[in-house]
Amino acid sequence: MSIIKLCNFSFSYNKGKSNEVKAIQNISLDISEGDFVGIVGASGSGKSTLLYLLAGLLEADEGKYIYGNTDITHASDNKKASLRNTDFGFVLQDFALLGDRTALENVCLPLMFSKCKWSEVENRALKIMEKLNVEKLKNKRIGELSGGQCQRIAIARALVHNPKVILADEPTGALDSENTKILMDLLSEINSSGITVILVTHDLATLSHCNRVYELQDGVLSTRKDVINETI
Amino acid sequence: MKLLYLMYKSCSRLFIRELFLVIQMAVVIVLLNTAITPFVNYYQIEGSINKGVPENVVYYSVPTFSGDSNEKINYFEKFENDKDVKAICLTYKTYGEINGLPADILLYNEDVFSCLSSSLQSGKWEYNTSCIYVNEQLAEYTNDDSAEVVFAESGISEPVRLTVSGVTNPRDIVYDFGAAGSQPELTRLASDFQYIRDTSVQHTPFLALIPFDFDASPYVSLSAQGAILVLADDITPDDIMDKYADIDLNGSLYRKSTLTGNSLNRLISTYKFDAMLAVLLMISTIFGIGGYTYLKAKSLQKQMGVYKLLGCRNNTFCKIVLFTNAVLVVLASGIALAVQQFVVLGEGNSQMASGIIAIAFMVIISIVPTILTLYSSSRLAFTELIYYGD
Repeated sequence: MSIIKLCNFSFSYNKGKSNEVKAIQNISLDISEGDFVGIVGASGSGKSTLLYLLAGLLEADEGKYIYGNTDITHASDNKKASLRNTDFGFVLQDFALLGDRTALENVCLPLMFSKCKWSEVENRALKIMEKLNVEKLKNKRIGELSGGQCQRIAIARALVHNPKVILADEPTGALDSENTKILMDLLSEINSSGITVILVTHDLATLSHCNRVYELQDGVLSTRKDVINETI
Repeated sequence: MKLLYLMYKSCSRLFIRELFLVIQMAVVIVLLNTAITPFVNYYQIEGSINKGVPENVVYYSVPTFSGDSNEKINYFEKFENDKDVKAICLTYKTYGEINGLPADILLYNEDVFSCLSSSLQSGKWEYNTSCIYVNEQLAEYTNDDSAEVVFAESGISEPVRLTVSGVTNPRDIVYDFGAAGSQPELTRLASDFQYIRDTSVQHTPFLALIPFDFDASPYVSLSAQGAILVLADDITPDDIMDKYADIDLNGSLYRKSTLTGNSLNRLISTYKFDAMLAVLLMISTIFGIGGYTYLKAKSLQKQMGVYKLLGCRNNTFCKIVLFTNAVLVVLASGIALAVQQFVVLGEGNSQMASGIIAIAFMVIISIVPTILTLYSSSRLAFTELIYYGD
């Protein structure tokens, strides 16, 4: 069953101005529930932009965005914020953790904006941290953690509110090979539990777990079956 | 609860910087209060003048250094005999002793009471030359119903015993027509008794007001340096000015509007340093705290980006930032007003007014830059928020 469907999607930075950049051009994409989708491309090809479009952080100039059965192309900011809070989890290259707070406080954050009761927030965060084996880090500040630990905290935060889709933007970019393997195994495990994972990367080696891989070149999307074959 | 927690975290994140900001704001409010207090007082006094002095008056000012004394009294008599002049209000400020205590004394004639009684705002005054009204401090030393008054340099050599008819209210105001300059002065009978417009002059903390028959004491009449002439109903100030234009009055006549203008000029010349200080303070504060607030909001960009990523709505984030600033403003204002009690000497009423102005000023300079910064931040691309924040 399709969870994300893009039809003729286009987006430009500085649209209509002399410095307009066409980041995404006429993309059509159909992602099913439980997919592990990889999107590869060189720097500046529009990978992150596509991810932010999927997250509703940017709005397309043209095209249609269907999430589940709902057309959210022109949904309000609040509706999109609500969707990010309930259905999406994010794992970013620089972790996007708040450095002045503890690991536990960071994991709790998505629940702060949700309908989760105040009394349940900490328990739910601790549960997911236990599941990912990072509960010992709960009282550590982000600055005290290694890159690998930070990324696992970021994944805990991405999972704490039981999202349907994980959007991962270069999640291994700041990790060494050992932590990269751990992280990819973790994402694969998450995917096997039924959560859709969309992974944006320029590292072909991380795509072995993907069941579908696309390539973005100057904002144009194409299928890369060869990558799957090579890596598998 | 969750929102309060996020607000708390937002405050605590920048705690040390916020603490310095609070101290800075407290100092600014105290300085600002100190600087603007004379102006607040000024507007209060002008309000009292407008309320207490009838429109149909001219002020007669007599220079102290010129003219023959007998001529001066002749001119007072001339006005008394002029049918166009309904009343002459005279006061005379002197000093002496009340029950042996050194005190300032303000004598006033019946016309002050009858024509300008509204200036005695809340006292129940009666014109009776055998009475005395005293301020609060003096009242503590006049337990019995009468007080012995000794006048100095007034030509009244014998001590007189007068009945104490009342104690002045701190908000009472009375005019002193004999003060320096070519305008009537106001005396606010505050508990710490000071002449608001002439704070440089030292006064005793004790003040007595005595209804006085000026005609019966030529020396006092001669010493009067000014008077308010209340005109007959069908006479305008211009009529009187024209009438006496060619007559040597050994003094000058002023319209009410001129008096107001003079007092404004005097205020500016007296308090120009304070005014300059207040303006510089406002400018530096706007740039200083506005700049800090802007930097703070910039440093919150990463937080804003992460919150946005995780599903925080824009209005929730605005609430967090605005609430944080509001808490700081209230905190700073509270500290400042508490400190001000020890720093600023002034009458309570004006202190409160200047405090309110200061708080309003602080709210504006703290909240407006924050709103502007939030607005500009909301226009930034998400990547700018999350990757280029502090």
